Amino acid sequence: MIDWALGDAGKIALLTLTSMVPIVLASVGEIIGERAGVVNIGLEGIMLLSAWTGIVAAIYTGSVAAGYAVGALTGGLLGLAHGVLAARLKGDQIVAGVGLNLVAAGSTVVGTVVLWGNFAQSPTISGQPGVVVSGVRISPMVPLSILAAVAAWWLLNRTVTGLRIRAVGDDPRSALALGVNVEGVQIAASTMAGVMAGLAGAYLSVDYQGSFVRLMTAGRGFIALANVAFSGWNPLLAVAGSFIFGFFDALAIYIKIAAGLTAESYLVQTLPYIATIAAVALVARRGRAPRWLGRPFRRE
Amino acid sequence: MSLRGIAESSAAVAAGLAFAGIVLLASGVDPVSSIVVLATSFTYYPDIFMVKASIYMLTGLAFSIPLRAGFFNIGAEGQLYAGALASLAASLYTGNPLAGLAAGAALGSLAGLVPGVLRVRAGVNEVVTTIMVNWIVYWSGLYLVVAVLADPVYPHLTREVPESARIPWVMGVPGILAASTAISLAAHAFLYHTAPGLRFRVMGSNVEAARVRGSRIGAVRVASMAVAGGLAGLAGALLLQGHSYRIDSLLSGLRNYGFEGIGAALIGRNHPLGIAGASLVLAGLSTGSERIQITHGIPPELAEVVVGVIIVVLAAPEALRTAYSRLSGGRGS
Repeated sequence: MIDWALGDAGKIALLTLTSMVPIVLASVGEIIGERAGVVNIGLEGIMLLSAWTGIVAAIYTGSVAAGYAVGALTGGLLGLAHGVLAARLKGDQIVAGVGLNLVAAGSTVVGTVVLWGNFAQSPTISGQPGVVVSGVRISPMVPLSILAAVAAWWLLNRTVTGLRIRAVGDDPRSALALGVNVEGVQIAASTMAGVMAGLAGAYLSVDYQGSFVRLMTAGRGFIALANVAFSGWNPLLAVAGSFIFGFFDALAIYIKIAAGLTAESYLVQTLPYIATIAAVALVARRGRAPRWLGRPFRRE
Repeated sequence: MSLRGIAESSAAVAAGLAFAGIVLLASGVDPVSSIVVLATSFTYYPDIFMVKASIYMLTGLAFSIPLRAGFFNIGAEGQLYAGALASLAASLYTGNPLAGLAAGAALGSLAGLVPGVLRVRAGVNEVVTTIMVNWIVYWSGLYLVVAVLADPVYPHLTREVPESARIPWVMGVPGILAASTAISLAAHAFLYHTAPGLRFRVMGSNVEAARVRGSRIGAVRVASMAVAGGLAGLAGALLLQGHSYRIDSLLSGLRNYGFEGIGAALIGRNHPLGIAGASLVLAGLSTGSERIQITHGIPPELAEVVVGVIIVVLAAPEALRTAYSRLSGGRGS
């Protein structure tokens, strides 16, 4: 049996690869947004809403790809709305995100009850692509999400667009003086962050679980936000960070399966959250945040 | 609260209800009759209405007080769970109502203190840590409910708060409403009628100036988080000892008071008496949402959607001001 050959460590490593995907996608997108100065703590809500719309599309079309497309579209629209609120209306970005999370938590439950007549979950879909290793299916999203991180790093550090994004987030006044459309760049970056969070949400429902489950994002949007700071706003380091956060997620799943459904398995579930606080507390002051992060920029 | 503040909050509530109308229409439900049910049926359940209002007053303050010091406490949810769990344990073991309330406030305060200290000492974003603490308390709470506090007869529920530790109702009014009202008045008196309250408000409106004057900003901020956690924890204790007496194995009776309290704080413009008024509005919506399930088959989570939209609208006051100035022919500011 390959299971035995691989051993526990190998199995947890494989589970980590599958559980880190949403963190990679959401944090890489959020890095682009935050480098342009827009912080979106509504990532959690975007992921949850996209997980829901994604599974609806996948169920009605029978296509996993359609699920991803609708998830990305949902995320993109919400990211666009957040960008307009932040850049054009000079709104409070944190407060807006709090509201979005609440809207998502409530409306996905309403939608689940209306469509499927229960509070807890959607029907399950099957036929997700991937390679099965030792009983763990590795989705194509695993390599694709890492590729997206590399692309985001290249965009931010090796292109003129990336220079503009970073200039807007660090020094919007100078960027404006050089003729950069500050608000336009912020809205575009926020939309991109939304698309990536949408893909992360669709991965959870359409690909990873095969169904939508009430509040299934379970704080992953906030773990991604933590990972953004942990990585020092660097998409490549964000992959490494996601591996750490994914590891504790996978470890909790593994222990839960190994130990069975006991009351203690509830305590094991706290692991990813404790690990997140510990990890961020250890490196918090190392990374340098974009100087204009979360602050409304007013032309005078 | 200024007249403009009241107008903006009313517009936000109207926008929230309008959005709910869209959701209802998309769900194939008559939006007009269901919104009427949502907005008016708190009269069917006056007890629940008064309990909810009491709790929102405190979770609203729990968001508002750190906000004045520049911190976003979105952890009132977990702080309230922690308070309810501690209050139940203390009530069961001592049978004393004050021990229950004190334990609730203390554990809630600790759940607020940790993110406060981590922010001030290590620079960790409190938005992330308060949410992480919410989840840690949630899962630990499920463990405690199932493994430690469970009722041997009904294993999906905890044991009941003993009679001796309950907070009484007087002539149909819950004692906890009196407690919350007194705390709101005390918060108002502190902020607007004492010297330290004035210093705290001034610090919140201009952190740089306060720093120049040598105020110990870090200590004040940590204290604001500890007080906020204590209030949310107390809210959990009051909810348990004054109304629900038990916790279920999904914590569903405790859910969303913390998050919706953020709505109370924003609708009430961060003013203790405004928050008390806003709590009545939210309690009305939330109570109405329990009846809309019976009349229209729509789950009570609809109230969350309404509150969420209200929060988003209040995040962008300039959008409201622009709309207002267009409506009034460009004379508004």
